[in-house]
Amino acid sequence: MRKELTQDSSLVSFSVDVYRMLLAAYPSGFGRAYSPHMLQVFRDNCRRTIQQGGTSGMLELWALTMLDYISTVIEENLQRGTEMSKSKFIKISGWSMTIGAIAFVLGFIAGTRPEYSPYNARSLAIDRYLNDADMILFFLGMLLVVIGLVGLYVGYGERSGWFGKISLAVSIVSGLVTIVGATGLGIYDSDPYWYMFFYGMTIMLLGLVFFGIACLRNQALPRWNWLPLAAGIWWPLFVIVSSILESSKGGWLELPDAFFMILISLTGLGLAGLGYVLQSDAPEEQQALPVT
Amino acid sequence: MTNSIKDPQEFLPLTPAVFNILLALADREKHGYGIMLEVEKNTSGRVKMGPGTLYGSIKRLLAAGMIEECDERPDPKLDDQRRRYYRLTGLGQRVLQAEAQRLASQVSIAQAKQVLFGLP
Repeated sequence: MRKELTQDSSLVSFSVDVYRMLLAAYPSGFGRAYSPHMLQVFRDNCRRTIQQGGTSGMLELWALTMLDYISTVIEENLQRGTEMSKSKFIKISGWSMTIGAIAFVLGFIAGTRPEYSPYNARSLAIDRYLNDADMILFFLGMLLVVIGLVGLYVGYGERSGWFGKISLAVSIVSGLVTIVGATGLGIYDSDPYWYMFFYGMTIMLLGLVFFGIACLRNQALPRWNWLPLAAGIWWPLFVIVSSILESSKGGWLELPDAFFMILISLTGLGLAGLGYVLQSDAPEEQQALPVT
Repeated sequence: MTNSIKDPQEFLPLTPAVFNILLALADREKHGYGIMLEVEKNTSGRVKMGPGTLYGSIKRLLAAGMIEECDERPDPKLDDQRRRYYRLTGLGQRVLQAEAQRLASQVSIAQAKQVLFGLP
């Protein structure tokens, strides 16, 4: 009897030691939170099984435990991969939006510089490079901003409700149209590409305005819910007001470069701020995990 | 606060593991091994939950706000201090009730069609 008890006890200890080693395959976060408790449950189970079913009972317990172990190790690791990649993407998209906003403003500044000429007093030596850089900067800026918009959609689209999600989707598609327009303008400099660029950007920012309204209603962002509206409003507002004025006057509205500079800088500042929100407040396992 | 605005129907139908864990916690708080024993008892030994399934489900139920850890232990003298006890939240109770009602309505259909005790 004594011998049997010692043997049983060593079988339980051995099983617990093996299971402890196996637990290392679970994701570190899950392991830290639950490994000691899983081990305790397994130990309790072993003690009960050895008393009730002996060695054959232990074999059955191990078979069941291994089935459970393999399926849950795969499940927990897959889930961790999804959560991490989503959170990581949102953070990266935040940096992308901030850098994109800077490139967007620089692209505009480059676009307002006069044609390089050694005889023009307003022209600077750097204009030689800036004259060619405007569309490249616009292209890069838009591309990075669109990645940021996708990050907003992934991170906060659901929380902003259906109206916010649709607005953001429209904004992303229009951003892509703007990129095509910027590319076409850089190569061919023709009207259709100009329209794609101009209206694409206007609708992209208008989509951001509507997303901002949804954010204000649903408090979708972790902070600064007014920011999407503040970032997007300036350019569409200018387009609408100038269209009305031009149609009533019957001619082009002549505005100084400084006016556009303020307009684009406000937009760029807002987009950079949104990028900051994305990269600093990326949701990490904030959403409830599906239980069904 | 968030529990009060969640619709229990969003979580249905529950997986057998989740339903059995919620059912095990319906009358009082329990630790992991206690839940495992209760599930085995309630299902006449047909459902044997491994530690991975048990704690994977507990993790999701905690994240969804259906269960919570207890601060107070039922009887600290009688039990290992390292054990964590869990209990249902208001949301967990509503989800369990909604799932039980859904299953009961399925059973009543089966009863009406005379499936339960064999077709005529």
